[in-house]
Amino acid sequence: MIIEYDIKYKKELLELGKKLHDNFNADFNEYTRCLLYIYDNTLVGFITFKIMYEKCEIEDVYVKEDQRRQGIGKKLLEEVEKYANKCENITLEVNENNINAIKFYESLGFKFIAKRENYYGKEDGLLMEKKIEFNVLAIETSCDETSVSIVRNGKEDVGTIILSQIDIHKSYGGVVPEIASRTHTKNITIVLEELLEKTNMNMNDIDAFAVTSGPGLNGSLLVGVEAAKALAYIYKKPLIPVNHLSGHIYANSIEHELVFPLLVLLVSGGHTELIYMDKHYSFKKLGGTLDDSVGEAYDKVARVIGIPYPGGPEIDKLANIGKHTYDLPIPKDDTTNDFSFSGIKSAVINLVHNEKQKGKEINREDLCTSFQEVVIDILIKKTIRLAKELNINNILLSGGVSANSLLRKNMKDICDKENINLVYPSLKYCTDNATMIGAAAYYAYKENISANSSLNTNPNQKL
Amino acid sequence: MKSLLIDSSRNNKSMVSYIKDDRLLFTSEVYVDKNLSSSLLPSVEKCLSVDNSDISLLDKIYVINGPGSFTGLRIGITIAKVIAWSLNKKIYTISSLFTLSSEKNMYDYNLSILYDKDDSAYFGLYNNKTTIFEVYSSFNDVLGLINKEKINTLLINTDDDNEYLDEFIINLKKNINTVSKNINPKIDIFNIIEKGNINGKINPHDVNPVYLKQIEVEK
Repeated sequence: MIIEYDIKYKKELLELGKKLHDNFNADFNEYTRCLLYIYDNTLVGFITFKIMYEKCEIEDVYVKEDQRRQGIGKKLLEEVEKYANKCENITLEVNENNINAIKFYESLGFKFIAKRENYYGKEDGLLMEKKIEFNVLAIETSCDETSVSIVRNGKEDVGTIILSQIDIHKSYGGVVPEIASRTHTKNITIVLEELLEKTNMNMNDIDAFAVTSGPGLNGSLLVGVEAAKALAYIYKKPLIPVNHLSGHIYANSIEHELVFPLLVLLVSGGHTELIYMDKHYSFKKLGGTLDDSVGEAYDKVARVIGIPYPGGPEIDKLANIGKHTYDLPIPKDDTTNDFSFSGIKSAVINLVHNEKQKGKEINREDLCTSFQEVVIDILIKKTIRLAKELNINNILLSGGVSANSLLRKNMKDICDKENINLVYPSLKYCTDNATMIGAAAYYAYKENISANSSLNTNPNQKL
Repeated sequence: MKSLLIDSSRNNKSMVSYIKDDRLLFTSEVYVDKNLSSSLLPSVEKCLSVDNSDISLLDKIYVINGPGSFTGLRIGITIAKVIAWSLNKKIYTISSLFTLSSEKNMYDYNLSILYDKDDSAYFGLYNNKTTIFEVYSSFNDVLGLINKEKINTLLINTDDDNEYLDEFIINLKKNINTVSKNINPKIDIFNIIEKGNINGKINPHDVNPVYLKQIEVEK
């Protein structure tokens, strides 16, 4: 049986420890810890280790000679891994001549990384490292995509499944919440099974379950939340609730190292926000839309000119072949950090109706170009101005609209000119997906964010 | 043999029962509407804690698959199918209408009514444990379906004694000798489980709510 250090074993521990080195002591605290292996009320082995932020260092491991070759050392090291699940790695030093110990550590996944000269008197020490793998199984069902993903250490997309409902909702001209919820319920275990098959993993390989708890459509969110809670309960693993917006931001961390402080322009179907981050998982909203989100404006403009749902990508496509010929008002062109897109949306609707009444045809390509240029210009203008005001050299685009080609191109050009680092996600991580939720969950967990079986959805959750 | 029965089909009352062999060990009732998500899985945990059992030791899961509260059904069914799928447990579904008629009685037929709105309700007609039909209908239209059966005695089981019911009973009595009503009927968990066994085990992927009623866009 492995237990945390108990003072009643102090004398026995010191006796064993002194066999390793003379300066062994039993002064443990919140950083330096000790686990004891007790058999028949007797101390037969121990391990001491230090956890400092993202590092875990093994200091001493000892098993009584007559108790060796029974897997006690292995069990002690495996137990330390549980304590170190928020660390990036576990390191230890071993005498280079202690071949048995080196082989033992290698069998547990430790690898040689450096030599330490004369670490053991006249003998050298080997520094060995084991990378901690923290696999999060994430579920995202906030709108019309049933997505599950396994993400390792907040970065590696081990495997992702996205079951899009676009074809179902297309015929209704937009997402029908009740149909979205029904479809998630129907597909949730199917996508989970597909994910495990794709990654060749099983639930025992998973260290935590994460789920989008909001914002989003409540009925849709509920399916993901119930599934994640059930899995966390069954496998006795942490449950990490993730804000969908933080997921969009952390879609960037899959392929880029986030450098702080940074300014996020979050643009999606439901949100248009400027967010300041000075460290991981710290969000401060500095501005946002006062009415429609930019994605909403795209979808409504698309509908009025007869482009089927989802209209954003098609407007972007048509805008690339049209000309800026229609004079549209620049939305909220002022010194605030806020946006407003209902005015330009109404202007487009009025323009289309007026032209129709005059019996004139609207040039869809030209209208798309005119609309897109005005909208993207104001997004870029306000983002760059705020970054310069705050002296921030890192801008991050996120959300579904960050897939927009003009936004990417023009923002890149301006950032290059202004010497600002710009990152944006690959197109596949721009739209809703569970990979971004798994990435965000890793950092949320490091900030001690977790939930239990009573977790509920929050459709209006703020960052 | 350890079994769990989950019923989250009602708007304001959900229930999780834990059964060991032929003994009901515990029932956790949840009287909430909007916060069902916060309470249903904790109810499962509460049930299993009575004998310190682990969820992995369950043998069977029974879940009420509707009709009823759309959201409630999805919460209960998602929990049930995820447990059954991930732990490879047998899962069975039973209609919420059958639960209303689950108590044994001497009548030839039992009619369950879950009132919805206006003159419409969910109706389930049973002859012992055989389902004759389950439909969403107006009180008037369902008469035709009931009259197709040769019924001598009928017990109506419902939670809602409303204005449509008395007129409905008068109409039924034109063709049926004895019609009685049973308001707020008792639930017989063991009959519900037996009905689940008769229905047969289902692949967890195929366990889905039975809504019966179309939503506006489907019409």
